[in-house]
Amino acid sequence: MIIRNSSDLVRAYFAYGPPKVAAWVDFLPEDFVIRILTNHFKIEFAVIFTNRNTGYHIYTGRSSYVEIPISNVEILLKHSHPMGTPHPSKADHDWLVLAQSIGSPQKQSVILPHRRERVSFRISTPFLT
Amino acid sequence: MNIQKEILENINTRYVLLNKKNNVGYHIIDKLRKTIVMIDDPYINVDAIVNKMLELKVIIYNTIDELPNAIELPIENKNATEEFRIFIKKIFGVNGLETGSIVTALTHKQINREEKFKMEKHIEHYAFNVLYPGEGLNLYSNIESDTASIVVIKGINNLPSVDAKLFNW
Repeated sequence: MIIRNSSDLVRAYFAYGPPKVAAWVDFLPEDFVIRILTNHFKIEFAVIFTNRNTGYHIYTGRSSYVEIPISNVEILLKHSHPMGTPHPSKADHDWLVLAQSIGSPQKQSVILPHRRERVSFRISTPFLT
Repeated sequence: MNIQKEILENINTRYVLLNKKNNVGYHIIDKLRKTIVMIDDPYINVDAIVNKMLELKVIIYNTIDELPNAIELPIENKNATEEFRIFIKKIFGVNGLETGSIVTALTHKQINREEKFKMEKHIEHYAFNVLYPGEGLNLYSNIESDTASIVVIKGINNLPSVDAKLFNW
């Protein structure tokens, strides 16, 4: 199956299940695609862009967590919160701090809480402890 | 499996700790993927997990450079995903309820042990995510080294059982 666009992506995920680690696509998955996948599988997904590389990785998480690579070239564009928490968690905040401490240019990222508006967060954003 | 159990059962083999900047705490790290575990569920007490990991003598890394290179990597730059056909035979119990499936890969050539293992990993993943999402499963691999096939049983503790004895010749 060739994944050329968002509908191919959703079809592939529904047919084969999400990949164990991450899927690579050459287009930016829209918010609604990540929301559909989160709603269907009830797990977190994170969209990562790697500087100097083409395409995007969609990392597969579980119901309460997602694993994000540690590197100064990985940009966490967005990730979903299947529980609907509209705030960054302590781990979200910690990841941003860690990324910046190793030289990542990333200043903020986006959360897609289930059934709520997208939320962007920075290091200074209050987080849930 | 919930994250607490998964982390505590895989301490040092998969999950380790990384010292935070200025030693104000720890990040939970999956060393096989070289990823940070971002626990977003506000009901999970991450500090309690970290304390338990420390009690269990977890390896603590001080800098990211000390972490080993990732072994489990995402699929890189592929437009076409690899496919292989499978057939699924459903298994039903005496009460007519579905108790599981036998999932077998259809291959056009003989496969070796390595390919079998790889295909069975895919089948395993498929069983957990598509066939029976969110269910506790028991998986049994076919003993033949050239056949990628897995028997998936769900709710194994609810199945009727009969006691028997086996003599150790």
